[in-house]
Amino acid sequence: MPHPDAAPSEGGLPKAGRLPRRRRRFQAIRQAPLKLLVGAVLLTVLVAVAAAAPWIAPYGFEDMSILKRLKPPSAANWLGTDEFGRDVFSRMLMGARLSLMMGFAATAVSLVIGVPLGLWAGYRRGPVDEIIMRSTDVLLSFPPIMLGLLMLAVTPPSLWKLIIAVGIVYVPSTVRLTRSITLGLAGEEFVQAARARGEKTFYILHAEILPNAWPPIMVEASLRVTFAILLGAALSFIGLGAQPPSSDWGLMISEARPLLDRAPWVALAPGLAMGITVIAVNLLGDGLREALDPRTKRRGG
Amino acid sequence: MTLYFLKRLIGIVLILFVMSLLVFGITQIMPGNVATILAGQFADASTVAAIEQRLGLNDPAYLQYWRWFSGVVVGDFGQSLVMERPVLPLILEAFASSAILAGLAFVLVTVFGITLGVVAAVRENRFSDHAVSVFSYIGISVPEFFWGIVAILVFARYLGWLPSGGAGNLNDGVLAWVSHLVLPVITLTFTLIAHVSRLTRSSMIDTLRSQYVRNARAKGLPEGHVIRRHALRNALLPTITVLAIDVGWLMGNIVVVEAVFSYPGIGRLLLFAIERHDLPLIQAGILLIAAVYCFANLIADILYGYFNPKIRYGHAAS
Repeated sequence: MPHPDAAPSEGGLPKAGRLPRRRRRFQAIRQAPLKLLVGAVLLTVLVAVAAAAPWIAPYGFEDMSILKRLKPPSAANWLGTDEFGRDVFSRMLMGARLSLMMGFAATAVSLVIGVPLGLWAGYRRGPVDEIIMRSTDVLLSFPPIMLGLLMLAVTPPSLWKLIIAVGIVYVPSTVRLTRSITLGLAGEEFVQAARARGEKTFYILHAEILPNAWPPIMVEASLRVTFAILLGAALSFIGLGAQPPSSDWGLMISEARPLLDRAPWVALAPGLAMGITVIAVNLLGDGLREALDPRTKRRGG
Repeated sequence: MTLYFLKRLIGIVLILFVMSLLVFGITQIMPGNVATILAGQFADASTVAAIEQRLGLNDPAYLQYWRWFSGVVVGDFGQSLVMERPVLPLILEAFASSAILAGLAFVLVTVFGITLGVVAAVRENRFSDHAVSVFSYIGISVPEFFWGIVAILVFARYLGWLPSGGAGNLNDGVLAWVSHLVLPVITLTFTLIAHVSRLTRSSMIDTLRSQYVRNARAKGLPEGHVIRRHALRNALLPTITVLAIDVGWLMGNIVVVEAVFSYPGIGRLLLFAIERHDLPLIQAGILLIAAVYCFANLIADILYGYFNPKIRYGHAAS
């Protein structure tokens, strides 16, 4: 390795000087697993809480009580009550269930539709590729919320429609990512060997290309879960997603909007919960990416 | 460059055409017959039939599309069903209010996002870098409508400095008008600054480690000069693309933020139209927002080409 003070010539030099490089290497080792760990632990706790919500919630999420309307947080109701006397803490727990399910289900929808299309487009090329790519162009020309809005505006809103709509919003980016990975893999020797053996296209895509394309697709997908949660919450907030009396976080905040001066806790609780969830998934996704991304790896040493 | 520009323009026209098909097609699935909505619940069959006849609702879909599309091309988006006024002036008026919000937010995002990102990169791993990182992590983790509500709570309810919603009238003085803009603009800005500064930081760090920056430093140029004249220009290239994407976010988030602050812009109009099943209004609103986004992307591509000497559009760009 040339000395950092050596005459700067074109090429051949490492990207950075010696000292910071070494420091960064330590950091790469220290930081990535920490993020991954914290994210994984947080998310596990959240998933556990969400799964156990009906049993650990102190009250039913739909139990109303006129006597207990808009009570501030107390020992009996940790996060207070809303305008119908429903316990905000219990509703928040049930909301975790909806939000996580929304995020993961919508991402699953985008993968189920996007990955096969991307594989097909990247492998077959030609007119198929052209049609698929031009379609993604059109879909990407809508701002994300607008695309969701367009799909949800026309029929009465419901949770499963929201999930599908949010999933479809992220199909184009999934297609593009999968396609570009497939393009790279299609030229590899093991794919050519399979083709020479006379394997069917389906087999090549499914057994040769897909297993190698998974890691980057999954990293991308894990980060997209948070986008899906946020987009879903936004659409529920403007009334196009989950419907009352559901305890969806976006819907809870929207219902608490007129009561802000009297009962701010009704709006704050689900907002904070959403923040924590998104941070957990983001940490996990970032950690995964840093651990798997060849770019960060190379940088690390 | 001109050739590239023309090609992109034709591409956009094509995309807008396909979009118009999509928007029209989807809105046709809308349940509830428009004529019944117009005539009201208690209208008899003959009134409904007369309205259907008048609006041409019995014609085949392609004919209806053609009628709508040929109007759109010359700027006639039809009549709003609910407000019984032509759609175009309604939309333009709302769009102007939204454009003020979005424009201000965009300027703030550009200035602060880039500044914060560059500061964080230059002071990599020092306190200000970590502060910016934490700030942006929190910023992108919470949806803007929640920030909007927090802002209302703090600045309108508790401190009482600013109005919690609505839009000011310029006749009541500039101050009243501006005060209504502050909270929505801050809300729109917050998440996106986080987004832009994160990206600028990583791209700037990459650039600062590059060969030619080392070269410039080795020549003994002052650090400020190296950063401003050498590094920044290249580091900002990915930022341009992200800013264009953020215009899309902005156009989408504006719907949510206008709902939070009851701001009379295109987003509120669109939600109103969706609630009342006002088809022509929905179609025009979505199409307009999508068109703005398309042109923002075109402008970003042109700027990208302008700033990046490595790309010269021409034969390779097709």
